[in-house]
Amino acid sequence: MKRRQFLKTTAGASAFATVAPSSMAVLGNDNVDKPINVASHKQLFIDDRFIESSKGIKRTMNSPKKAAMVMQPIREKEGPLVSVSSVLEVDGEYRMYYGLYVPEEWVKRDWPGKIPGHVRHMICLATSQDGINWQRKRVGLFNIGAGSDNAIVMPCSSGTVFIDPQKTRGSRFWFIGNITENPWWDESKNAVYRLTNEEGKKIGGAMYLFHSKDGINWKRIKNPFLPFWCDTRNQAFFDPRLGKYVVFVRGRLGGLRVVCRSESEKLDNVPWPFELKPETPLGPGGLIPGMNHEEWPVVMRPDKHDPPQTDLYTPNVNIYPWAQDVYLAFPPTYRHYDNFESYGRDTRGKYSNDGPVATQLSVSRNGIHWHRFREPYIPLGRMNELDGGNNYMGLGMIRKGDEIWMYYAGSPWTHGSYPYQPELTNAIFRVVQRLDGFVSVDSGPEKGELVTPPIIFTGNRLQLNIDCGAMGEAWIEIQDENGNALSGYSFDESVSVDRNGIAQEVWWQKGPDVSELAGQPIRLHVKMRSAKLYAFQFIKS
Amino acid sequence: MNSPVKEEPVLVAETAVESHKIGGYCQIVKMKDEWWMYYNAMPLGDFNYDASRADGTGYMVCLATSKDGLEWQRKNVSLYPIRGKENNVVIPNAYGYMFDDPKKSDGYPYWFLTHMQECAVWKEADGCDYWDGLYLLKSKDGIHWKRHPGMALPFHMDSWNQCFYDSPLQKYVAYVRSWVPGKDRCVSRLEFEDLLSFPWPHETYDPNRKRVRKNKLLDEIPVVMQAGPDDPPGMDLYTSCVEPYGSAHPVWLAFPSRYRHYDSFYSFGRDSRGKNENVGVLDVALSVSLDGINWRRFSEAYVPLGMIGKIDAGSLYMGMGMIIKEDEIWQYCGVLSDRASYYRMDQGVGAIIRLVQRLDGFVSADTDHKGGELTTPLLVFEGNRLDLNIDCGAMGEAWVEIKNSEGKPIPGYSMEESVSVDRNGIAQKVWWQKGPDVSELAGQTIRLHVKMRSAKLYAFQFIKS
Repeated sequence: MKRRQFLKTTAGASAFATVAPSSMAVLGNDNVDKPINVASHKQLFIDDRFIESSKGIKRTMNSPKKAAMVMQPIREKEGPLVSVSSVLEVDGEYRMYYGLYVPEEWVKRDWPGKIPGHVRHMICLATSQDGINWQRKRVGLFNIGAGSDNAIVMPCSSGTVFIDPQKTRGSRFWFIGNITENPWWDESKNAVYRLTNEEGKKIGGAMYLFHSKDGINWKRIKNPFLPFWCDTRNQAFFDPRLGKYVVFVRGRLGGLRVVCRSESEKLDNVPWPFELKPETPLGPGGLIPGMNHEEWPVVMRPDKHDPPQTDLYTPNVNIYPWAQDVYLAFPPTYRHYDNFESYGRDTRGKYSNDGPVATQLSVSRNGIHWHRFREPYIPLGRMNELDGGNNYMGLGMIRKGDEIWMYYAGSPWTHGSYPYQPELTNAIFRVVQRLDGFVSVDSGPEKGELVTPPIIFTGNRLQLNIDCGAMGEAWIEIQDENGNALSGYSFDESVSVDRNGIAQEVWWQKGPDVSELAGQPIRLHVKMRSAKLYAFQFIKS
Repeated sequence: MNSPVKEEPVLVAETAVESHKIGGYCQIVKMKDEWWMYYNAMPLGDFNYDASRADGTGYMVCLATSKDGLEWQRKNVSLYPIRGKENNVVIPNAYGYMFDDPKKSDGYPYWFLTHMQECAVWKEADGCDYWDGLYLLKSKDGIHWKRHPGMALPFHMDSWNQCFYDSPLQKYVAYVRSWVPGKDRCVSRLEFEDLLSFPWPHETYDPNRKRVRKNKLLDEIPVVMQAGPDDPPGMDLYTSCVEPYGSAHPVWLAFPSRYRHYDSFYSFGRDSRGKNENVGVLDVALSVSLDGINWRRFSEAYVPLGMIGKIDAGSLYMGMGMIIKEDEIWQYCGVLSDRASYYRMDQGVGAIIRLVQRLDGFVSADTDHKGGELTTPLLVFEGNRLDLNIDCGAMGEAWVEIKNSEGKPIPGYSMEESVSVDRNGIAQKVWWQKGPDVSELAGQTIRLHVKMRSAKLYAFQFIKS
């Protein structure tokens, strides 16, 4: 059956009910009606782009291994809480921009007489050679509290750092976020964080872009990037697939947190456009309290598969650079305890803005259409552990050989119980994922199989990132466009792949060479037993 | 079935005794205030006392100790001249299983079940042959071992047979290796009252029956674990590794190594599969049982193979013994990077790694975000509180209803009156609007009805608080 016919017969619903929930199908509609040119790029099975039909196969989200704690706050200098803003690889060294949320008393102590709205967020810098041992950078720029011996690079701000490969304004490092005007940093002058009226009602706010040549000394673009208050952990990156900058910000719909997206060819053309809705409340100077009426398109939101009162806290989107067209988001999902009555069992419902938070995985081909797995990607620790209440994944990935390392901040408290447990502290943890390991197509002891749509490749070898363990095996047949086995590449001539490896060569009795098929439309037909298939790639060996 | 987390290697091949390899088998036992690990190692090269290496001997039982289960030190006992005088070999030329005997048979607290092979450095093995059968060694201190006269079982059963005293049963139980035609390696089980009444009970050996090799155990002792229809072709069960879990009414857990053979595989030049006999890959499975006789084995690997090139990429053998550390269970596993083969004479291969499992975490009843429910059979309990070992994560919740023997919710304990459990903990209190006290229901016949969403339920327990 041709792919086009196939799609027609399934009437746009999920083509492969055996594979995934109905929301799965192909994320994004590019490449649907022609052989997909996979060239020599790595291809992942995050959706059905490479599955035209299947049997006995299940798509699985694979959690990483929690490896080790890498950092705790220095309590007397940093307060009880650290968070991960962004992790970057810069000139052979790893950088972690991490956040603080210092105690309110410190603000009163260090800034007597004036307590502005929100000065407790700080962005700091730590560096590492190996991704395991992290040292705080003694930046020494800001004399706050105990002196200037600290790692603070941006006082009173929250947001994320990213690298601009196009070096807009000559700067490699950019930061998107918010800032409160403060006495320590000139760049904060006249910045608006969030405006409230006499009754305390929020009536406007803003977020800004900052840029830097070294990632340490930052300059603000004076005018707001957006005249909205979008709270913490908003983000931006250059998307090489689109040749554009993409920004994800936090918004709300029906009171629940959602993620909004926009794209633009120019990063610093501020403010970025948005659509004012009739309901959008305009505050003083055209400032708006929050992106709560789809002024940008909403691309991630809670739905009926989530528990009541759940929202998506932050976007946390990464372009996965080791495969083609893979976007991975790690939104922390936040289940609220509002109005919960525990009849004395515990503190649920006692505090405002309270509940547990844990990171999920959402996958996309274009950054717009997402499929979110509902199992936790980073499960909560047990309640007596440091990450037993909340976890928030940080932005950025490090590749270490056949592993992907990421970092999350875990806390023992639930979101709003934090102020009531001043004795507690939290930590930053490293997690280890297999290369390409986020999502796999799995078969059990009974064999499963899948057939790809027609593809075109370049190269002379086919490699699989596959884990057959000790019990499993996988066999590959190459078919022509119409589904007929090609001579020399049939199942009968396939030499099984077994065991576990990220780049296992596929062989037939005649050998591994597939160069004669390069450039023509073919299909892969995979049969496997007790195996997890993560990726395929044609390479030139 | 929930796999444990693989943690760091605690021992890698370092000493002269370990110059070929370390591991394969290991076992931990609590001795006073420290943990002892008996582990196998094999030196590189030829020795006058291991002429039968190709039959599987040449292994040394070595000893390491630890206070915390993380840091292990080799205990230098200097008993046998094996690659120098100073070493930690406590039993030369054997691989078997150590157990303590609460009945102190013959006045000895520690026993070791093994086959034996004559060797120059140890006179206790004089007159023994690897193919004969199983012997018992005895010791007062766990270090100095001597052979108990006679043979416990007159069959060849190869390595890592195990025996222990089953307190609830008040009998000794042994799990030994058998060979059933068409199934290859299987696990047989026997029980008996007197440790030293040799031979242990079995059907008489019939020399006319077809068997894999002369003197190998077939089914003269009942087979309780074997390859089944869900297993791949050419797979057998290499070891049993049976452990009681819990004390009063133990759940039986077994961690058999599954061995998938490459015999007669032809790879057309891709790799070395099928080049040598008795080569293949091994991982560790999990089997569960309520009586130690009827087992259910999960098809996924309990300890999966690591990636090719890593220390655990080829063969895995579960270590025996568990350390309970607060809300975790630590186990150890002997790992090899290559495919199982005794033809290999590589230098310094293998490691013993630590595994971390949640307390009670081996198997759970799970629901996804769509929710699910279960009802228990009739129960009678003691105590005044109900605890759950449950992981609801951030998104999940669980509600518990107590029903009477007719299946009607008992007022005060209905689903509507249940206060949900959420988050993740090993002993989470179940509450109802009236509180957590269930003492008024103690001694009555009840059922538990559990509803949950996005949760993993591991265990329940009524306790007296």
